[in-house]
Amino acid sequence: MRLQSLVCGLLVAGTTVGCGMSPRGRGVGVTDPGFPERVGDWTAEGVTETYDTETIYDYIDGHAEVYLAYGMRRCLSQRYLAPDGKGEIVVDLFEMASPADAFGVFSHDRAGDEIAVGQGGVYRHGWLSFWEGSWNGSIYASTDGEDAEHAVIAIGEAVSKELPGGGEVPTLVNRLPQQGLDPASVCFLRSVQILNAHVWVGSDNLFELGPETEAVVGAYDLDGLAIHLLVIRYPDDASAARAEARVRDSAATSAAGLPAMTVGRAGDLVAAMIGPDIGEAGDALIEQALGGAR
Amino acid sequence: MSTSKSGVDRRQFFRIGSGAAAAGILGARVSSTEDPPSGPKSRVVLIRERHVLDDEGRLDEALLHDMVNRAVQSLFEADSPSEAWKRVVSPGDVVGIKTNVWRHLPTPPALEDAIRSEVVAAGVEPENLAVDDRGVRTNPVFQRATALINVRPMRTHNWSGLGTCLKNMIMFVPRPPEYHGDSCAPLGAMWKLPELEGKVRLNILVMLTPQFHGVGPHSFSKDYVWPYRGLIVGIDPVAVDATGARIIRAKRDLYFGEPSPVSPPAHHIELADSRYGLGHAAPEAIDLVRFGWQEDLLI
Repeated sequence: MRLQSLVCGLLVAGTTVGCGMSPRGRGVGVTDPGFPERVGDWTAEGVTETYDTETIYDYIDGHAEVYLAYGMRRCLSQRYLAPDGKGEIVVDLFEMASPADAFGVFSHDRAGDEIAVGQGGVYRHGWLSFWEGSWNGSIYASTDGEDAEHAVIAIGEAVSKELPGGGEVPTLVNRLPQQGLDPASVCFLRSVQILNAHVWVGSDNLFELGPETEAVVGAYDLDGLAIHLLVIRYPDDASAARAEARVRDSAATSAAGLPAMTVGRAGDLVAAMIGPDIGEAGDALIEQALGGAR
Repeated sequence: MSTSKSGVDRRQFFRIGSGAAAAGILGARVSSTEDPPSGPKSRVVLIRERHVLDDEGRLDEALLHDMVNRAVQSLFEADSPSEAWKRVVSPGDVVGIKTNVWRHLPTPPALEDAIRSEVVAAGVEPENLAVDDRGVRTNPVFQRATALINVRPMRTHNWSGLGTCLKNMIMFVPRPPEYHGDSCAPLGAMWKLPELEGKVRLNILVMLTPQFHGVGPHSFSKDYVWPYRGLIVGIDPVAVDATGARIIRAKRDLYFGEPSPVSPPAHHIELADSRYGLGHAAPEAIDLVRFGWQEDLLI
């Protein structure tokens, strides 16, 4: 289901959802986004908090590492309270290292209903996630109800429009062949720990992922067989060759601790099909992923 | 096969791994738990009470106190709760109760109070007792603690897979991120630090409303907690966590309708056994004692 996009001024629960923008949240830097003072009957509470790469641990215990794995620079957070004071909406805007990283952290968890907020958004159970330019947005309602749901989406739309846009979905994503691919599973990443959350490739950083690499992983259903395809772009051919050699060496010494996978390389790209051996079909998948590599 | 139309040479592809890496609890790939357990089993008590939470989620504090007492009594196979608590702490001990203040699912203050009162009843001077989480490194009682009691709710965690008793001690280290590598695989190592080694007398995993899945940066949604109404109590933190992990896994499978291992795998539990020797993770090495409400036990 695709949720209908809401716009400021929409009638919600008999009230007009106004999106009065204010200087709230501005002043930290010239590119700081602003937060609306009020959305419908929901009003901003307190000051906009700012967290850096150290203080973020105190704020989002358990998830800070995910954002840091995508080069988080800072997080701006603003609370909204319901008219009766019993409901709360928390808006978190994360400035990431690049648009690719903002897309990446969005793609790490995008189960839910697609929604037209920012350059891509999903909504589920009172939580809206979206990305816009180098920013990733999270808007969470602690209370149930249509009013809260509409307020979450309206705040998302208002805030996303204030964010500096630019940037596209990383082109590496296009290397994943479409046939059999679950689109919602596609994740852009740079960290083996993020990769391991999608498909386990071993405790060591086998593929030498890091800030200078970019990777995309997707889940496939090929005639009932579940496999994952991983494509990694390295800074240069030599780096890719070194990573490929490391995978070969690891296979020779500790294959029993590794998942079954088929690996190929072309130029600065390495592709791995992780899962049961599907013979020619697996080779073809890797070939497609690497096709036309320099 | 020669070079294809795409210009990619399939002869260069290579296949590795058997795919037979051991899948332990929660899908972690750690092979050591295939080995038969050595030494005596770890005793773990799972106690549940239907009425410890009412239908609105309100806590019966007296019943919760009774639950922890009965669990500790069973754990030590003592004649009474007071005798059991005297095996946990002695009058000369300086006791730190390591709690957890995560705002979405904190250690219930009523449980902290229950433990505190039992520790005092066991003879510990009140000035030699403190409850803390984020401030344990600077808390003067914790700094001179001779005994620690570790109590926290079970929840999923985006980096370690699960927030466990093992992980709850991370506030004792100056730089927690140093233990975050490989999905928090090294967590067991910190239990060898002087601040912790040999001091943790009791581990209590709070399973009143455990969280089995997380969404968003705050990793919390009320849709993913459920009233399990239990406590898991043991001396062996690995056995306690492994037991809780099995329940979480069972709940996830049930809720999502398909095999749904925690992601990333909470392999720090198995590694605390295999790499750091802190206890037993394998079910066959755990003597699990079940008390109370049995409905939807999941284990």
